[in-house]
Amino acid sequence: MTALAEYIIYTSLAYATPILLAAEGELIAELSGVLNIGIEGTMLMGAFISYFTVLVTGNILLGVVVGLLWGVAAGLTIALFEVILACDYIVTGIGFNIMMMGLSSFLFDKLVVSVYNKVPYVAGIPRVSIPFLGQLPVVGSSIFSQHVLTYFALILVVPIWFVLSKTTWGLKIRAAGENPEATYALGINVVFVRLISAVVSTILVSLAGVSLCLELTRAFTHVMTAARGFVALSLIIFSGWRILRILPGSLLYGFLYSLPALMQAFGIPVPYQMLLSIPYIATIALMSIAYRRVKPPSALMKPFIKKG
Amino acid sequence: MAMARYQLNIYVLTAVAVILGLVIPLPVIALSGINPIESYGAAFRILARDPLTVFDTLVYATPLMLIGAGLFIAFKANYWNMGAEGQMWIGALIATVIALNLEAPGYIIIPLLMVVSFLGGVGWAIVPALLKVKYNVNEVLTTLLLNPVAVLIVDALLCGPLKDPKFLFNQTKLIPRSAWLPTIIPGTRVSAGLIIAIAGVLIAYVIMDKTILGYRIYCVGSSPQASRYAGIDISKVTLLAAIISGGLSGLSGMTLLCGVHFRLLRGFSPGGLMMGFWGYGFLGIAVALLAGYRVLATAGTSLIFGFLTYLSYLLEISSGISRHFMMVIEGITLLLVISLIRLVGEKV
Repeated sequence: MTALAEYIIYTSLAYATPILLAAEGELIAELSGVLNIGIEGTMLMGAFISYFTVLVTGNILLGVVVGLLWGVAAGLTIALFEVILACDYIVTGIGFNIMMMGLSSFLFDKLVVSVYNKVPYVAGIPRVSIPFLGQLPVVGSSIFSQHVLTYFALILVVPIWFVLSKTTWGLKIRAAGENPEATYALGINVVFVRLISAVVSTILVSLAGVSLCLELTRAFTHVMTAARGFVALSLIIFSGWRILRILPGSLLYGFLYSLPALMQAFGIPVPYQMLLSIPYIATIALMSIAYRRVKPPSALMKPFIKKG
Repeated sequence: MAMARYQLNIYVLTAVAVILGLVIPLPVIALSGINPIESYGAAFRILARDPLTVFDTLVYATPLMLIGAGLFIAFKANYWNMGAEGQMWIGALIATVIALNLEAPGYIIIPLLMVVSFLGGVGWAIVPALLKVKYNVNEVLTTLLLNPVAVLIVDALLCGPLKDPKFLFNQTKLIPRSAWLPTIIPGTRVSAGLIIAIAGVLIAYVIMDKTILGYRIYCVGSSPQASRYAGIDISKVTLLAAIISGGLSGLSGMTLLCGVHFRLLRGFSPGGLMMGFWGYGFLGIAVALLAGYRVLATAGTSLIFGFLTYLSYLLEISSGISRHFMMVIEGITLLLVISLIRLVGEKV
């Protein structure tokens, strides 16, 4: 029983990490008024790039750094289309996703599968046991012996909450998302605020892909993000754009995404197709329940076009 | 007049974007260790050796016309149906089950399969549509997330009750001969599904340009506020647009089943390995968007993307460039078209 509890807490947290990181990032962008549907492609490419870097160089740190750099590049691309050119957010996002899913699969086929004739595992980001706390029963081996990025994602909730609700920068971001015209009239460069928010956002989203690939699976497969990006988008919706509600929601998703691994570990025979579809169906159900009670940022999905 | 000029522009822009979409990824191919010029050359050598295979363009364009025309209607109603892939799979699944269990002459079974596949697509499309009109739940996410669910359902059935035990692959038995659509161009794979697809585009044209429903769809899409004041039932119009697009996507599954594959299998759609995140349903998005303001233009954009799909299979055979590369071309084309419209659309 203790083993089961430990296992569930551990895997839920581990599987929640990519979703939490992606939702934290996307929240920043959305509060500034940029809806990045390309989140899925950003995450997937982040996963592939970091995997491939570690596969070739064997250097985990370099893999993470390359993942972060990809995050910057993706953010600038998204900002170019959505903020600077003010293109339609849905078409940009869908186009970007299709492109990145295709590119990651193409490169994976070409540079990994046909070179190695199999999918090699790489060295992942290590688990770190926190002194003293790691020795506690149950929580010691599940909560305080996690991967590095899990701690990072959990702790990051605090600075993001602080910046967004207590600082001038947070106010500027939210103002750009609520009323860009008034914000611009006050002398704040809305385009710049949105661009920076988009880049910070995609860095965290790419890091979510790194966490997925280098912590959870340590290997890459086609469309391995399995809609985690879209799930993060919906998580933001039913958390009502509040960072403190995203945390428990991501833990729920972590649990749902960890179900296949859990069933396998404890030898419970359930068709894997059923387990894989649970997060998707749960997302649709949760969105239907929560949608009426929440209000998005007023200028979300409204491009800001400078007059004159 | 302004509309006609805009229409011309989007064709020019689409042509430019498609050509750039084929050229821009060349360095990526080169970086992955393949000579891109050589690979395109090899593809065209296959084409020259066996020119009749170019008719495969029409085979791939067939489902794209149906899906594209349907999505055109949904997008014009400002209903972002991203679930055509799943709707197509469910339509094909239901048609397969009926065809495998019902022996009947062709003139009965084929219309029946058309109806049930249409209804299957409608059934899969109606849940997110109802959630949208009743609770204002974002349809982009719900329709997108239903795609992998549909593929997983088909996959579970292919591994279990529908699997043909004679084969190692997870695929169903062949459907009876009477349900096969006849070939209409001898020596090619082009089936009567193409006629169904053209009829679908024409029906979509009549709905959009000749009926009051089409007019209301344009109204709702361009200004929900004004439509509400004009007394248009926005929920009903949105729901109808979603139903038509879901149904046509379902019907495209039937044309693939009865005209191309004759059985249900994972490789049914080009996005076979993509778990419902790509395939004809997603190519259809580009087909519908690039058609601009004319439904009939979806026939043309289907041919473009049908040809690109054909080209991607040629590249896969000749140079080992996986067909997923097609996704890169589609993505670049979409991004280029929307940004080119923003940059030069109003001025040209």
